Amino acid sequence: MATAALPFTVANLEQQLATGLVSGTGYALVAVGFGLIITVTGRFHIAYGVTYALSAFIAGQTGLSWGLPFPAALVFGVVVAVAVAALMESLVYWPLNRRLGAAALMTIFIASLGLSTAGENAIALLWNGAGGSVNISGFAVAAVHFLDVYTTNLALTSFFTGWAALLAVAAVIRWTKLGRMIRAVRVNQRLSLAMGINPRAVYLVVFVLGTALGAIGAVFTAAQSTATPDMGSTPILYAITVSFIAGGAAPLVVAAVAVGVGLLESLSIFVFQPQWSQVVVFACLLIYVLVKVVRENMGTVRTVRPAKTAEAVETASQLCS
Amino acid sequence: MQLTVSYLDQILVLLIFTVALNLVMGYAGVFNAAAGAFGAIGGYSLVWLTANHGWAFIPAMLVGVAGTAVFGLLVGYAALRLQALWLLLLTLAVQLVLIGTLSGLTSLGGSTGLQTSNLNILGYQLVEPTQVLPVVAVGAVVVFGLCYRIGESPYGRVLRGIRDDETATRSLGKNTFSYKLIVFTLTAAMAGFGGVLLSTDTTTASPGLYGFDVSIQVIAMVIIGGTANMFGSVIGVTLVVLSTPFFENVIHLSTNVASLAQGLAYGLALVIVVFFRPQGIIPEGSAPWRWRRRTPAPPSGAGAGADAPVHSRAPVPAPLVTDRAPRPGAGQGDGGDRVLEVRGLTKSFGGNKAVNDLSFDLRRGQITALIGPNGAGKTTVFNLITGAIPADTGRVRLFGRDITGLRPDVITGLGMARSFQDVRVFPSLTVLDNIMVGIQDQPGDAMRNLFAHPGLVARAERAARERAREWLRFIDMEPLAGVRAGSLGFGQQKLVALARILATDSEVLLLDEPGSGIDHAWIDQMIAVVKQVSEAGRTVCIVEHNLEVVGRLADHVCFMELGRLTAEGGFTDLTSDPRLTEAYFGTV
Repeated sequence: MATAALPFTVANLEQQLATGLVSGTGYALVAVGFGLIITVTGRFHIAYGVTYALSAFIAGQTGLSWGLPFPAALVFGVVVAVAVAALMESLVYWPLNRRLGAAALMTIFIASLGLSTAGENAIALLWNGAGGSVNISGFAVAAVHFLDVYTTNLALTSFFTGWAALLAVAAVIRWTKLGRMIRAVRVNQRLSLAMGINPRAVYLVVFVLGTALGAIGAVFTAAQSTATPDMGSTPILYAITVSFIAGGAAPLVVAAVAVGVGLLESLSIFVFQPQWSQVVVFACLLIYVLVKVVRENMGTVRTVRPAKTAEAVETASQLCS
Repeated sequence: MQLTVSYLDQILVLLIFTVALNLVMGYAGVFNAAAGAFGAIGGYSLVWLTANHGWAFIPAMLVGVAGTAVFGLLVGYAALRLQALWLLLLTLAVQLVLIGTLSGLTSLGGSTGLQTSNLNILGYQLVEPTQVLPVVAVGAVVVFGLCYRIGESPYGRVLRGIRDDETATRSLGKNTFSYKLIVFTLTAAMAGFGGVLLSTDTTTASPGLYGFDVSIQVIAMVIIGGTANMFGSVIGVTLVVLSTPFFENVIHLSTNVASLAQGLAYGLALVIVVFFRPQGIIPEGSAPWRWRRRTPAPPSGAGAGADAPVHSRAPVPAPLVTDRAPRPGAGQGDGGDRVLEVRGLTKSFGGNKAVNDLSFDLRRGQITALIGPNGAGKTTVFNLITGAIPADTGRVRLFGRDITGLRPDVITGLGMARSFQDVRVFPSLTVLDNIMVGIQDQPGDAMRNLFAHPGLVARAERAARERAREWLRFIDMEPLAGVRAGSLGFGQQKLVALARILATDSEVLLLDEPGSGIDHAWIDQMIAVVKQVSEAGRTVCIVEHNLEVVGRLADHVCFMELGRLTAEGGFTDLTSDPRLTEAYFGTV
């Protein structure tokens, strides 16, 4: 278990850092997207994994069937994923939230779990004839070599496109009127309603932005390997991990934590075999949550009991004598 | 035939997982996404011990179940102090880490897992589905019986109270963490047992057999069948498991496509059920022998009993637990015994001193009112003296005993109970059950008594029911005993909440805004009840904004401003003071 799969050398370190940065960028897109949704709307939208996979399948299929070039297939995949996410919010989550109010949190999670299960199986059924997977064509992949790092132009494009998207969303939230509205709804939905902001519209915008970020990551990830119905499972679990650790921080902070997860996963190969990389990430989450429990309990549980007070000790002494 | 029996085996094994999850999730409201992981501990223990170490079935099974119980206890101890989302995340992480670890361990077969051919009980082979059937059938019946017994007992009533409102349940003298931890550990052990039988059925233990998909499937079975209803779980499991042969044999899909169709179907079913029938196919409280009975409907308007003249009210029931009363006073003083002494109580939230060096007494049989403008810190005082939040400094003594720092449930057990401004009835419990949760020291509150002393529990339950009815007669709401509390009007809910704390037999009652948000008819009713309780010797402290209520009820009034007690005395004295009037109303 503890046998390292890769010897620690400078060349290997550079390679693993580059790999971690690229995969971390993919996780950052999902984490910021998912995090935006959960922090602004309060929806534990685990069906995010479905729209993630769907965007890759649509991009791949449009490339194959219609011969769309990669950028057009990417846009098409993102648009379809965004539309499906908006439908989930409009037809399922919003009505449930309206009906149940504060008690809707777990109900929406269960509904999302249902959408996730149904969606993943629906994708598998729809592409069952293609063996349940689709390749994304249209990008002329070429090897790139710098320092001691071997990578591809596709990986570099995904890295820079991903960060461009992340910075754009962060800028929108930080500096635009729309961003102020999103932050207002996040902090106090009722008050923002009183100020003339329509929370339902803001929620939809957040679902659009959040889903689009993940969809961009999904198309690039699938282009580097292949699109499968369950390809969203691991990124969404990482996104949940990052969202909780980052605790509703600004998008770029969430992205930084996600890149950290990518690096952790990548660098763990110096200590563990590759099959342990995911376990390492989730074990870190587990430790984080346990530390949180200990800290919270230390902060709130009073150890002073009457039996420990001087008077109680005196009373007990009197009783004993 | 073998195939049919195989499906029956699957149903029975998954039923164990489902009823266990239903008990912890449906009854106690504790979400657990690690059912598969708990099953894996049981299943892997069985297969590893029988295949690699030649153990017999029963000892291997016992080790698996005990190991899961210990693991569940550890996870529960950490997880159950967390908010719902964090609890969900922690159990999710447990599921992923455990299954990921099992997948990575080559000594446990890695991703393909382990196999065993050494499964027999005293020579009875467990290989064919027909051979496994009697074992899984007995196991499923036993686990179903345990879960049903717990869920439909006084213990289960407290669990449902915790699910509906944990804070209110704790304030009624129940150690909610202990209840949740016990049921979480027990149901983890049951899932471990389910894992043992799943591995027995398949003669394997592999990560895929206990993956996250299994946990989701079990959650779906609970939700579709109906939460907090064990019969619903039977329906949920049967529908989900039999959907595969339905797609294969009726729709004529291939095995692969049928499996995908099953996932699609139960995923959609989950959404549809949550949306259109959130209570599931068989709702909570419904059982085959109750299906012909009608559930009483809440009355329209003010409600049954609401308009009854006050003079027809039943007398205040005498305290049930005689050894808890009378209690000594903290000291003799002017006008009676001090039962509660508050000294130097201070609480800050950040830079805001919500309560500042507050001292006051409650005297036996008196009604004391805490009044003051909004933000004076009145409700914070209740939260501090009942242990809901810890004080920064100061001491609280109840009947001469220092109760500073004690938990709310312990303080209620010592004789002081509170109501809440926002009522906090248990909406999905009946009015009668709401009151019964408040009754202290019920034998059925201890799980061991459910199985070791069922006769005692049954007798105590009858007595508790009659006692609760006495309280309902006292507040003139007995006709509504069988109505779900959530369907009552606000005024009725306030009376139920009052009766619930009266049922604790606490001598000191702290009532937070008993008259707020209700109309005159209900205020009259409330005042009559509180007066009668006070005349029966109970000590009452109210926080109230409605000065009419204060004037009609209070023997003594404490005036608070910005966390400090600035005046006390009779109601007329305080309301005739221009400065206090200005402080309260903002104008003279």
